[in-house]
Amino acid sequence: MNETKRYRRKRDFFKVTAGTIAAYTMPSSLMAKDDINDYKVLVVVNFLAGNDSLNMFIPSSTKGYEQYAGIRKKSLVVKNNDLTSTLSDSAALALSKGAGNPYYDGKNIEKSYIKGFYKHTHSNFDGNIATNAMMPELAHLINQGKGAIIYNVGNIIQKATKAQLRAGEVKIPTSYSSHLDGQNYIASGRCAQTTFATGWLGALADKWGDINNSSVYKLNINTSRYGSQKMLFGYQAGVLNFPTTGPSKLHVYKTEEEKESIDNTLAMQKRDLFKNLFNQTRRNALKEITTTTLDWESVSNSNDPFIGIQNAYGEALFKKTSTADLGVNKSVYTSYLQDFEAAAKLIAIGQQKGFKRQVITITLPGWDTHSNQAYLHARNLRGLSMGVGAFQKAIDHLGLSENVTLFSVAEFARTTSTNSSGTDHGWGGSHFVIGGAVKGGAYGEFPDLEIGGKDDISSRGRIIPTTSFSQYYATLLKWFGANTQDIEDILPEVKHFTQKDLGFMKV
Amino acid sequence: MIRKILLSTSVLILLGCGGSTANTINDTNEKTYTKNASNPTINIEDGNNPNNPSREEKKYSYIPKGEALTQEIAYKFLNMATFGATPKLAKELKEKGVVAWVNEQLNIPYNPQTQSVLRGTLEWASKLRPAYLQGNSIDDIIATNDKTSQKRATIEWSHFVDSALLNGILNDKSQLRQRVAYALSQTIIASESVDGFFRYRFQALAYYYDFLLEHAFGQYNDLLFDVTYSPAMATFLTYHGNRKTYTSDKGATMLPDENYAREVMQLFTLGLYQLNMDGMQKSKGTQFLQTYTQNDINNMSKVFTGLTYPNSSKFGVHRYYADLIHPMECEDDYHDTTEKSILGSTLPSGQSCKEDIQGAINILMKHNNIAPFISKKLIMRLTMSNPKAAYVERVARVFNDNGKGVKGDLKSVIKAILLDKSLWEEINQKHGTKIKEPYIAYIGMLRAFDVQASPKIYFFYRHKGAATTYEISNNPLNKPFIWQYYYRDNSFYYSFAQAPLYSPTVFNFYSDNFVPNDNKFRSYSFVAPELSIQTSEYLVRFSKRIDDMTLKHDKGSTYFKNRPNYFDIKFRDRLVIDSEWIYDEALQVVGGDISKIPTSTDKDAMKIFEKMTEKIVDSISIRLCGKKLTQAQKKIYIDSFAKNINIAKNSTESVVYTTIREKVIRPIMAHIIMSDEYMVQ
Repeated sequence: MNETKRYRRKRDFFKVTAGTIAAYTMPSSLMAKDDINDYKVLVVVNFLAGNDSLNMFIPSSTKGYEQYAGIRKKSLVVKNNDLTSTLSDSAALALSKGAGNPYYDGKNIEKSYIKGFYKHTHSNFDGNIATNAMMPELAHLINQGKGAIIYNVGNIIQKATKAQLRAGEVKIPTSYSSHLDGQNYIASGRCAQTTFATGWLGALADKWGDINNSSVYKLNINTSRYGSQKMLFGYQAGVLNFPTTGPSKLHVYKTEEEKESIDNTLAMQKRDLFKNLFNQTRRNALKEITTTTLDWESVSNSNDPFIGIQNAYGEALFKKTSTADLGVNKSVYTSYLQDFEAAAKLIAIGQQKGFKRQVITITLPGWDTHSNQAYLHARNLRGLSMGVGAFQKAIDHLGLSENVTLFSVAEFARTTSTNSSGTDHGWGGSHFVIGGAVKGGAYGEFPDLEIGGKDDISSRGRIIPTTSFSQYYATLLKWFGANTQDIEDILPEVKHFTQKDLGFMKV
Repeated sequence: MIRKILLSTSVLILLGCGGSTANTINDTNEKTYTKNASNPTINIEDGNNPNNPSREEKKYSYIPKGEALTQEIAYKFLNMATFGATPKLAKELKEKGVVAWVNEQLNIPYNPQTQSVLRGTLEWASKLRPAYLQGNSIDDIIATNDKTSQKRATIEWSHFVDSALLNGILNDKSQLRQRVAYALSQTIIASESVDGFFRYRFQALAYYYDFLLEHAFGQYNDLLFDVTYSPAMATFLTYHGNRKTYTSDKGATMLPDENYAREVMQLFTLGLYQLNMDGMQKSKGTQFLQTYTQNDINNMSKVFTGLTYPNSSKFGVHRYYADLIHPMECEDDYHDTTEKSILGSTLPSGQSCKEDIQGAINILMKHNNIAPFISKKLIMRLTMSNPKAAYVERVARVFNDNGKGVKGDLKSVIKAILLDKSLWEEINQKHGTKIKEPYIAYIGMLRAFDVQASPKIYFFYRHKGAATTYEISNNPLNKPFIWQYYYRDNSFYYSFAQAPLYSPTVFNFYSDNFVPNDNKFRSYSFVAPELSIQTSEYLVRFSKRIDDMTLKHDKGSTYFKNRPNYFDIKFRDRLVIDSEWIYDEALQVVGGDISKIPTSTDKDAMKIFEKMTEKIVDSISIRLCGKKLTQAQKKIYIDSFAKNINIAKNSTESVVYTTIREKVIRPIMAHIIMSDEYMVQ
């Protein structure tokens, strides 16, 4: 851990009358960025426990598909069946219910999972990549030029060949395929050491300070109970933990007289430094909850800004489509929709309040598909696609298409080889970026999937990443308004790469 | 007075920045540190000496005695030295005097029969899940081989450990030891947060925690030694099965794991930057001086090679099949025997794993940073967040030499921390010195209100989705029992963002450098680490917890009275407090006669209601804070709640009770628990 540099400021030593000097931690900047005047939002979608991105984005060139199909167990090989024509070309995707779904295969979700894919025909694609049939909404967005696929992203300190890594010329991040270390790496944006100090977005918030006019929303909002808020931890910057179901019910003010009693107690001026601090912090916390509760009401129920907007099935935007309508025999992760809905509503609030910047994390559980992947991954992909599709519609409705960018992360991808019914912890894998500011297309290098081949560090298909998360994050930070110096400070490992901007964001 | 403070701080600045040699301590570098098999009571030079009380009395003349040792002061001090002041404890402190009380606490030996968390854990298992012991006796398991963790990995171990640990924290008479052990668990950290592994093998952490209890008043080097050999630490910081550099089958060069090598220096002994004795960082210009280099880490990482889980013939046996409650073993075939150069000292080549580890601990112990680094950490956990430099220095000097030439004697260090004159200056002036840790605040509330285990306990067992509730007619061990139903969602951790053994990372629950967003704190660079986890979400959770406790788990609550056998499945512990007496005290205002409570709301009636409310506020604040609140503070509660004592004519006693209890006592109790008067230590 590199602690922030602490400089003793001598003059302050003379101010002390009670207590005494502790370690000095001054934030690098308490001033808000005043050169930022527009509104931009980054939405992080974290696939907790590592996504099998190879079955999300399938290589569809003749050679690529051949290699892919040869490696995997048959029940986990997505068939070479292009379903692109089943997607409507119009701006709005329309899906039929039940048997009308493009991925429908006799209601059998495991069969739907491998029924086929949507080839990406947008001019920026070379035709070598396709999206799983379970994800029509995502495929549609990508085909409209609103989505980028970044190949083989992972936790690497610098780009290296298998030989260099094997010889120890370039360090392999310790335990790159362990959940905890992987989560720490993607949270900090660095992987040269395992210890975690601050998250990359927390470090940004530290730099930008009070960017949203002292709002209780600060810069960073975590909507998950699963723990990806680590990304948002700064030395000084706080995180607003915002449950997807809305703020926790306030148990402090239960009656009017209780409110009166607490408010009056907290308002008492105390001469004691700690008591004053405590009361001030409590007042802020209460303000935070009361404010967010009111704001949440302003976008809920009859005030819901998305009333009247429909999802691909023609139903209410974030409605959890039934299993029957989805045309499958087992439940799908429709609870993901709630996370995307909360994010969209928080953005509506930010827009109303005139915020400048927001970061929102969404963490989706259930990706550790060691076994039973044909069902579990299918269930996730369908829920994810509906969530992303509905979210983008909501953002378009708010008129913020160009202002909001959503991107995926995961601590690792999974092995290209399969075990009896699933995949194990791998390393590099594909990710996607969605939004009106995204330059649609495929980026990075697609690896050689051969087991034990030139890009496999193991004999299981743990693919050596060719693009680092630090490059991926740097590209997003640049769009978000961070300057070169900020980016270098926040992501020190990006200096090991010549390409610091992967080019998937419009300038 | 102010001039004097300014003078002393400015002197410190000169010393701090100039690196004056006048400040350096006696060099104890020549001493070697070996683990004391049975750590005999080390005589504190001027403590624990019944033959010479006058000398101690003179030395600690600034500590109030007799009448001057008020309830408020007694409470303030006890909240630093225990898991929460109680009237009984305050009485004991006043009778014995602070110094004698501290000496007495420091001299209570560790008793593994009653204090070991591991033993308590196994007792729980033997009572509730005898099959887990596989027919072995508890003594046999503790003495020889773990027959439990590798055979039965289950979340229930965490319930048993939580229960055994909480029993000690709540009820152990050796409160100072308990509090110091908890402080040490935030200094040399191993926790359940690895990746779910310990969740099902929590006894590993109980074994580790026992060393914190055992060595709380022992030698820091013994603590380092035992913790280093504990499977919990070896697993948490990944040096189990750690091998000297070798070439893998695939031709890769595999280096020793650096995890423990780094953290043992950065967090457990030395810190990142070189320190003066007063805890201030040494600097050169604007640069702080690093304590160690990557080269030191590389060399240190070689020390911790060759360690493997005990009672297994296979080196590097997988942790799933490991014995986690006996010391790690050394296999010298896998130990790096090359010469190691660490922090300017050398461990010669050819040493065994054991010799190297002992040597490394010696090197760490003799480093100049360890005394100020550990002393300041313990001060911050126990007494104050922003200790004066001179306070740190005085304690650090004791760490360096307890008066008998022994370095790292925690008994002397704890005594120095608790009896320091600058601490007592703050206590005597009744200054707040730190924000209470939320966990300690909650435990303190339970203790203040005479917590007991619920007469009934229910054993909740969940495995692969199926939940069964087992009722155990009598609490078998008369120990509180906690269960949880969601992993990593330990009910205390869920409510307070902290609980023993649940640190989210090796960096503890909070950073000691957390400067809150407050102008005064910012301008002085004062820290308030414990505040950083008290976010709005946790305020809600904390208040919900207090609400549940006072509503459903209080012998005084009408809810509890009406449902003596009710089991609220959402409420996750089996603890019951008792605040029924508050009502009785309030009733004294009307001579204990409910028929004398007015049934109108006119002026005279209001006067009585106000008196009763005032009595309620007094009862609660005296119990929680050891003092009455100011008139202005009381007025706030009286203004809000006195009118609630609005009783219809001919009400039954139960209606009267419920009205006063629910509309006056309960909210005031909750509000005072969550107020600055209670939450600031």
